[in-house]
Amino acid sequence: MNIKSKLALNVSFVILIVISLSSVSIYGLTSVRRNLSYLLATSTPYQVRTTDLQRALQSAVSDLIKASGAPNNQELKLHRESFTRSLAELNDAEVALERISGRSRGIHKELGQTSTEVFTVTEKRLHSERDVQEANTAITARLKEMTTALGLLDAKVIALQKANTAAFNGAFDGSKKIAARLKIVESGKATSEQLQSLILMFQFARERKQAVILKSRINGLLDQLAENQTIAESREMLSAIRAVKQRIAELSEAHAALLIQPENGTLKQKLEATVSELRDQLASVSTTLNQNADAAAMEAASATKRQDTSFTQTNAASGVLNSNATLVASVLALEGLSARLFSVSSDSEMDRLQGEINSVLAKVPNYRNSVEKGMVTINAKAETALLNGAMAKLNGVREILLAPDGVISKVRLIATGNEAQGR
Amino acid sequence: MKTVLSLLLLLSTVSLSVLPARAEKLVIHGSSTTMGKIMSKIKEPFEKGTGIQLELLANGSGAGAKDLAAGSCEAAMGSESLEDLKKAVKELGGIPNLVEHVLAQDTMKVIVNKQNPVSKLSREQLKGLNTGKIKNWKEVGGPDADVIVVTSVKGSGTRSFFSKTIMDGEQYAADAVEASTTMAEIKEVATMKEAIGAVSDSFVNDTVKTVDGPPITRPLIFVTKGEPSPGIKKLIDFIRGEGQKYLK
Repeated sequence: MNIKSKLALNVSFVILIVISLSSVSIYGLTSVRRNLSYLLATSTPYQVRTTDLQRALQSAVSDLIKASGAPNNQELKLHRESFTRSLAELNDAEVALERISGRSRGIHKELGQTSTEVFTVTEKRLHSERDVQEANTAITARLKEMTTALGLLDAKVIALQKANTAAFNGAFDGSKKIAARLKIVESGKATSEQLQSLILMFQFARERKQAVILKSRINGLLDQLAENQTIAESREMLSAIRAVKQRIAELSEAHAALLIQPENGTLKQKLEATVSELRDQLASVSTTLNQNADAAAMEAASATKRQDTSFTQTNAASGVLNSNATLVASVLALEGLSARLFSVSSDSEMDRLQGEINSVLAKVPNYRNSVEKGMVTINAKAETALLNGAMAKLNGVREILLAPDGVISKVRLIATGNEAQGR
Repeated sequence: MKTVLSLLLLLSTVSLSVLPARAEKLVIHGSSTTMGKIMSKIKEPFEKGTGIQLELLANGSGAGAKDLAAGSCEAAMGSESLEDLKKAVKELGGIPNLVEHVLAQDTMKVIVNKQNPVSKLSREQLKGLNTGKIKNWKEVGGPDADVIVVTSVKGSGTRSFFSKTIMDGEQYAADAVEASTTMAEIKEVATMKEAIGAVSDSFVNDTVKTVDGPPITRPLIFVTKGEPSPGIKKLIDFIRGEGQKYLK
């Protein structure tokens, strides 16, 4: 084989290789182009639909979460409407994807079922919260009314106490005045009786100087008697004393005359008659003074009794005020504890709070009894109605708090729910 | 036997320790002036401060001195010096070791009825009035009225001292009114327009009028037989020291 043949064979061989390579390349490129066309025609809408579905799902879940946390029915309604729209969009996205992929995922249905449960629970929660809120308002109102009633009771008891204190002071002052008056009357009585004795002694005075001393004493005592307040205020007694005083000189002269003529019967009779008349006049003064003393003693006894009564009532009123203050403090404590109920976040906290509430409520009857007992002592029947009204309100609060479907049970449910959500 | 003795000893020891200690008591009788001016004022603080009880009897200086002599009191209160008391009370004569303890000085005041216009009397006038030599107030510038002398009972230190210092030891007027206590004397003078008396200034009140005259001062004393007992010594020290604040 010559060179030319060899060359021609080589050229043919190369041409064959080029042709085969070109064919393969053309086929490959055509295949790539075809596949790229397919991808362009089919894969991009899937991804878009998938993305759409994901977005719709996120939006629906977000709306559902917002709805479950709604603080009230209005917001729940708004979030629910929003969720319904989101759920519809999710449905559309899911159907669109299903069309492309040919596979049903059931996301819309599943989320729809879940949302029904969430909405039911949320509605219940909101209902409980509303109930509790209303109960809180009712409790606060009743406790406020109770505090007001007890405050009114306090004011009335203070008024009674003031009246009793005034009565006590009046009776005390009265007692002092009566005691002072009695002392003056008794002093007048003693002086009057002493005077009667001194006048009688005139008959037995055997010496002039004895009579001088007697006369001086009698005059001095008559002056004192005339200044005695009880006698000075009595025209009758004062005129009797003045009449006696005017006759002391006569008595002295009769005695002096008898000293000169001791055996003179007429003079003796005259002295005796004068002594007797003067003693009678003084005896009438003594009788009047005795009557005054009896009256004063009776008044003193009455004032002492009034004083005792007022004193007892003032003390009882102080006791009522103390017990009532304790009762008011209990109500305030209950108000504080009730307010704390609404921020309870756990069962254990609720247990502790319920224990404190029970403890306060358990002590109330004792305080009430103490107030009631004291009010009977101070004779405050009208004010007892205030206490009874306040206690009725407290019983209402107790019912609202402790009934099986009461606030504590409801708050406990909410707290349990919150605790579960927190977990 | 030994056991019985031991038991008795134990019992006596126990009873001695269980029985409360008896509070110390000082029995003092005598002058009502000393009583009123000193003892009544310091009794409570002294008893509180020392725990020593005071049993006091104001029966007059003379009676108190007699009680001391008889041994019925531990100390006698006097409102004159021991020397004068000895002269007035015979019973003190036989006791050799009497000791005088001056507690304070007392001033006497002459008192008359508030209606009496007389406001000043000399020693001689006082002597004349109280001895009965001056019978009518007009003799000393007063009204035409009999003088009524009021004095304390015989045996009173006040009476004895006034008699000695103003009346030169002469007797009071025979018809003098004798008052049982100083307050009774003041009451008599307050009642009788013609009366005159003399009392310690610490008793004078506004029911009577005091008259200017010679100063009449005297000691208020305790008299003890020999040196005072620790209790009386404590009382005297109290009166002279801490007790002064209660006497003002």
